Amino acid sequence: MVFSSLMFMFCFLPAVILLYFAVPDKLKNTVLFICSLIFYAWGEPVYVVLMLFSTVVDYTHGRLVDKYKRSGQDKKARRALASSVIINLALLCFFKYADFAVGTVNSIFGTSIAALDLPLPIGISFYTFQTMSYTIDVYRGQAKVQNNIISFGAYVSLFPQLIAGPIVRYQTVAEALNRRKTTADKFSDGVMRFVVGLGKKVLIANNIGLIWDSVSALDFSTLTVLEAWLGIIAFTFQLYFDFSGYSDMAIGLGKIFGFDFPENFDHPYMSRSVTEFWRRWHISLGMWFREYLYIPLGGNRCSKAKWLRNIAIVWLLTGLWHGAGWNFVAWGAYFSVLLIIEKLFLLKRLEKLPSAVRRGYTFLLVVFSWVMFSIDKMPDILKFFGAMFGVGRCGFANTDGIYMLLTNVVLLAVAVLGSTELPLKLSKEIKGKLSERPVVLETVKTLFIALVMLLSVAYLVDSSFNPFLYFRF
Amino acid sequence: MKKRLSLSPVLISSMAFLLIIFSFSIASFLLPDREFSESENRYLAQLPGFSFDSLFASKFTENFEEYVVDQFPARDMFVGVKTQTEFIAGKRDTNGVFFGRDGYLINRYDKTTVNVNKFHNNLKYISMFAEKYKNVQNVDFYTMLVPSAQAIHTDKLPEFAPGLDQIAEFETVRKAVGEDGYVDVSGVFSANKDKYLFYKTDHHWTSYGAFVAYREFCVSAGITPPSESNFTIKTVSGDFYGTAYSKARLITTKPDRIDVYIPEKPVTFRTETDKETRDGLYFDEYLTKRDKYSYFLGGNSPLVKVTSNAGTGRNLLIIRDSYAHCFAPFAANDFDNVYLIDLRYYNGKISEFIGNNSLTDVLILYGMETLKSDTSLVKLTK
Repeated sequence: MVFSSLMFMFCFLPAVILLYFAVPDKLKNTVLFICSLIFYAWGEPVYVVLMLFSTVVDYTHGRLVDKYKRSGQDKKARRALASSVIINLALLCFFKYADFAVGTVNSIFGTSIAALDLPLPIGISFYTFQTMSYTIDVYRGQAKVQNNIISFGAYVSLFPQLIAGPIVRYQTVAEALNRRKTTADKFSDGVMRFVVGLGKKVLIANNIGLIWDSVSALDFSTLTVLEAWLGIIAFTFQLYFDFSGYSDMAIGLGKIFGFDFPENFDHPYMSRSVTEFWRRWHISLGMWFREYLYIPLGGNRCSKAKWLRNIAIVWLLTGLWHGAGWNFVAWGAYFSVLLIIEKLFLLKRLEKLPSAVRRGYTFLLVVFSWVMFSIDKMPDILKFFGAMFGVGRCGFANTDGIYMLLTNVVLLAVAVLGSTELPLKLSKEIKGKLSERPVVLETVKTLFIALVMLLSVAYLVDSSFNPFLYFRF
Repeated sequence: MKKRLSLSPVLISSMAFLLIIFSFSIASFLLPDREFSESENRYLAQLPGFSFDSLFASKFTENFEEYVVDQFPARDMFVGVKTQTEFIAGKRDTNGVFFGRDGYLINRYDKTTVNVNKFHNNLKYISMFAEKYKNVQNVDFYTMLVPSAQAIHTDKLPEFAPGLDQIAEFETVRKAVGEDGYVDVSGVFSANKDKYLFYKTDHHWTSYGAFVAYREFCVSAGITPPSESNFTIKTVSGDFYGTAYSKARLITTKPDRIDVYIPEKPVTFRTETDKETRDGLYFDEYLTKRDKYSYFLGGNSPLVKVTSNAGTGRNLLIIRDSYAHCFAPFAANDFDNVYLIDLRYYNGKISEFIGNNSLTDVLILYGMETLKSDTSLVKLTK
């Protein structure tokens, strides 16, 4: 089930809200746990077993780590930690990377080992990372052990952020799991955040995605320059509005149930360097890799050679995390090269340039990266780059491309403006002006919510195009 | 805590949100399920039966989501809201339909909507069929392919509207069939493009379009082409919203009118479908329904037989799609028996049918809308 579906908004969510607020505090985690399992089972019923397995394994490991640490048996505690990390990574590797490895081996050695062909459990990359953070946090003493398996299960399976993040580290929500309160303000903020996310996903991402959908269906050797650029820029905005919209919905739902999830996007396309881009894009993933991989490897507090090695390792794995395919490895490698170049000398020189130039530079490099991200075969990636730079013989533009541009100009403008800080500034302005008149402010908010909901429902009722982009994650 | 909550204005927007989600969920729960959508002309998904097999095959949940979407309250209104929003935002097509000038809703014919492989295969099957029967004794064969409105009403299309050249593609069939058996309508349609050849809200041709095409057929078949003065033209409905409108519900859209051509000379007709036999050619009951085009011959049916007292001694078989529904009334004036076979539903052997019914003429009549995606024309080769 995805948040941006009529099923979720008008069947699942009302039922959960009703149940959640009807039961006493001590049963709230139970309601969340059970509802989350139903939410997860909706797509692939069998894999609920996997989720329960993860819950039990990590719960037990957490308690073991805690017990050994308390009794000063650090070696045993470390072994328990290692066992937990290994089991989580093994799960992830088996379900996500086994077929990729088999395919690679087959193509190198000419063997014909049969692939497993298992469907990828939705969100496995997210929840295995979260459960790992738990045992590591307990080991490091950054979080208290969770003795209540239901509360722990609610954390592992928590449906708002289960399938597309943000990746919530255990220490962030440890307090809230045991004790939390939904205030009127928080509930209201949550609703607003959810509706904003819904609009980003259904009204912007899905529609702009149609451009990429029709361009990517064409033979890349017949693309004109205009079609290629239009297509990849559409994908650039589709991915941002889809992913950040989904994160907004997750954060909003979290607030409705009393949680505070970390922010996941901070206007990434406004970045003035690639380094900055990665501080603003998928923040919770970057944070995870930083806390649990980059810093333990030595971070930048080591020799230069080691530092560069660390960057390379982190970005290759970041690439691979996004999907089991060589194009994702190439995508990660591309960023590690860019980041190394920036850190070695480019950042200092960039700082002397005007902001507009730096933004242009970053945006262009990010757009190029999405070519590798969105197309999974190397020859097609090259063909597509060829079309972007007019290497093919298809000319600059044809009527198909012009028509596509003209009929989507408004949408593209909305996407461009929407990815800047303008909407945020505007909403702050309105809030500031109406701070003395709360009823007027609430009326404005109500109209906004009603409008976005009405339009989103209209688009969902009449739509066969509501893709889920993170099925590879 | 409750008291504090009820006083806070911050709850207004939250309440509005809850009101929206709960009222729609309660409404969809209470409203009776619809079986058929008149406006979309299709059966809607129904509540799926639960079984563990279907649950574990992920079928149950999939069907359930479809059910929720199809039975959503005020579905038609929401489709209209979407179309209108798209139009305001500068889009010039939705669901494969162009927002044309002068109220035309024109089905899109380009690489995004046409299955090029199927289209070429369909043209190939027609060519193969025509070549196979070209030299059969005593039976004359004709092929008529109808371009879609996009190829004719080029001046009604949005600026820069993409399209493939369907008329050029028809040339391959013309070559295979030979000049004698190929009835070209593209030329005469283009010459009359300012007339009411196609419905504005539906992909079919109008009775006038069928009339113009029939005159071309007459030239090939050695029949004196009728003129409009041979008929009394009567408007039977001024309130027809067709299939294109179902996909693109612009509020500014005006309905089409349906005309019938009643011959001056006294001819009587009888129509036999797989369901019933009745006197006359028209099914008045459809004029009060949404699907008004089924006024002609009662809609789709595997085999229809129209008998008349024309007394010409000629019998015609039309292998066809729904374009033939308003074409057959003209043919019935000049043929004693007109048979219409729809390959989508007809499973008999065409060659046997031709042998058994003392036919004098066979016409293959297809519109672009069918050719671009249909999978039943392969039956022509069997």
